[in-house]
Amino acid sequence: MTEFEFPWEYNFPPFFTLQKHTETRKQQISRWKELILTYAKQNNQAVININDESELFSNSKINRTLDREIREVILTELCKSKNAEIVGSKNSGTYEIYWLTVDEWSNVIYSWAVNSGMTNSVLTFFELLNGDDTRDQQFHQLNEQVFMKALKQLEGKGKCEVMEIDGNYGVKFF
Amino acid sequence: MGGVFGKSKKPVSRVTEQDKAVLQLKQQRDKIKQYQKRIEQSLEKDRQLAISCLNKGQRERAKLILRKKKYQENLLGTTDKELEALEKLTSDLEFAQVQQQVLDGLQVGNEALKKIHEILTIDEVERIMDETREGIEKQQEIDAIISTGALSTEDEDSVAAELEELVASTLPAIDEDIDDKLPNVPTEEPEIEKKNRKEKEPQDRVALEA
Repeated sequence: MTEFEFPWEYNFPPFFTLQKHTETRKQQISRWKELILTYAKQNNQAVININDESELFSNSKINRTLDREIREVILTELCKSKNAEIVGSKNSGTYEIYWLTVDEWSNVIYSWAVNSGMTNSVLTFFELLNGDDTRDQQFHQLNEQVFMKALKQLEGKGKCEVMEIDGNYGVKFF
Repeated sequence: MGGVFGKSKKPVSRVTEQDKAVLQLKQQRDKIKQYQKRIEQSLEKDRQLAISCLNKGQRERAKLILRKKKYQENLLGTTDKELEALEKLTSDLEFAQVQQQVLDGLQVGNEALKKIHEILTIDEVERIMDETREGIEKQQEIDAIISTGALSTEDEDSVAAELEELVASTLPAIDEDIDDKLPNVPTEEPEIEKKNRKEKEPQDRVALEA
């Protein structure tokens, strides 16, 4: 995996302080949202805890760290656009990040299944997420929880059914 | 995790027993693949370890490590065979399912055909055909009665005359005895012409002389 390339704002000290002016703040938050999504996507990091110290929220080069409150504001915004979801209790500070929304994931997965003739056959999660056949797919090595959510949505539409044997999951697409 | 599965158990599951069997087979396959990955990694590690042992002069130890490596290589070969057997069984099972679907399709078609045949018995077909024939005969009779009774010979004549008239007015008139009206093609040489020529020639000569 190549080194993540931060946008220019990341080296811009005011980016780490919540802006007072409404328009500017809006812009700032939307840039942060974008940064978090691309960062999560590139590092294939499905879960972010805002209490953890990470290079994402702290730039040691300019000695700036994003306050926890601001992190929460941004993550809440991400939740609103269905790009994130809080995990566990409200104060856990742990969020699942969806650089594609669950809706989009389910579409990506289902169209792959249809196009590769996998409907009506049983597949294991392991071969879908780690198998050689899906190496060039977007959902390759996707977080299993997120994958499961997308499949559950498909299941709700009657497009697949998830099975479980001894704690290992499989799915049959229809 | 449990919450996700706990809710909304569907009344009718489309997952068959065979599907579950396939899933189990595939899970076994996954496990073997993971196992192979692990062995491959440890093979590489062992090789590196053997090299470093040799560098340190621990020949015996290097040999021991290589022996372990060889053993694992053999294991890898065995698992490959097992994997092949599993995959073969899986695809056999999947193929059998496809065949079953084909059979089901045939069955449905067969049933439908049977039902249609139940409705259409041979007697029924004969009855319908008889009725149709009767109907046609009746129609022919009616036709005969109507056509003989409707027009008299005079009417027929006037119809023919009208047709003639129409033909005459619409089609260009072609005179059938047009040959009689044309003059005959002359059989002899035209004599007058010859005389004229003789008269003209001397005049020309006169003109030249002058």
